[in-house]
Amino acid sequence: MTRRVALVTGGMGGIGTAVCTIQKDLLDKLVAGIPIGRMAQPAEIAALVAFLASEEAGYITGANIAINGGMYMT
Amino acid sequence: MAQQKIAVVTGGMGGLGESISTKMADAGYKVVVTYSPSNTKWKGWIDEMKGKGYAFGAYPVDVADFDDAAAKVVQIQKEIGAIDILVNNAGITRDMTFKKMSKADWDAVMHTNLDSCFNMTKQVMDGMVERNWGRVINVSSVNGQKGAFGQTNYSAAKAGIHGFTKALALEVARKGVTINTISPGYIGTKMVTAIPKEILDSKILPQIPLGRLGKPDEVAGLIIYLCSEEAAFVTGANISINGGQHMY
Repeated sequence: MTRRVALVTGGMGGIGTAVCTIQKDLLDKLVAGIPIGRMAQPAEIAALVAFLASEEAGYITGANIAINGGMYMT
Repeated sequence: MAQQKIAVVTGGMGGLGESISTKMADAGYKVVVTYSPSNTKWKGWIDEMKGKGYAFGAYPVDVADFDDAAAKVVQIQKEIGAIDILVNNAGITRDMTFKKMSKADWDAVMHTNLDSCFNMTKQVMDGMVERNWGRVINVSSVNGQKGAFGQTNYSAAKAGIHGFTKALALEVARKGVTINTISPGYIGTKMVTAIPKEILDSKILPQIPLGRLGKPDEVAGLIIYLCSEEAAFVTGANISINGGQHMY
């Protein structure tokens, strides 16, 4: 079985880190603009990355996949 | 133990539909397939699937007919259970130049490919919203994004699907229901592999950076990701799965 190696740049940081420094009233305004009504969990972004890294995603290339709670649809 | 979720796949016996149905069943969903009332081979398909260990619910539904969709979904929900996931996969082609296209050719494709999304989704959405959980995946096409010679009807219907996706996604976003479009490119179904090899090799494959057709299982894999709990933040999206054939 071939083992594949994934290199994750910035792998020690967290998606929530920068967000935590935003003032609460501004954050509330931002979240109000997201149709789903919440921010993403880091694990949700990670799950999409993991899917794209899988064999089953071998026909997805050059795509820009929106994962934004409905905030911006094209 | 979490309750098994029920998924309806329209056109679930077709080239793409069979892969979607079997892979979703493998992933643990209870899968119900719909097929066209004019399909005379449905029993053979069910028996073939039974032989492979799959126990699908199967219902003849004219997805182009609102009343038939309504009646059949009532029946499905009574006999099988509340529908958690709907894959609007049913579709037909009536390919010809616009000059040759009749109103009937236009209507057939619009009704089966686009109206079906309204007809079927309308029957399940209230329940999904009430239970605060749902997934609707609408199968569009690369030709809905870029257009295709000889497919004014198909391209219009497939493009229209994403408008429907975006609007509905906004309406139910806070209710735990996601609505997404997927846009497959050329996938190796019987319909596509029936194209003469010289046309496939000279006209179709050169358009695809990956140099090959997609596999039906790859489309199924994307749908399974979108149905997962982890995809709850993906809504209103149009995910291309086309080997790089069309990027924007």
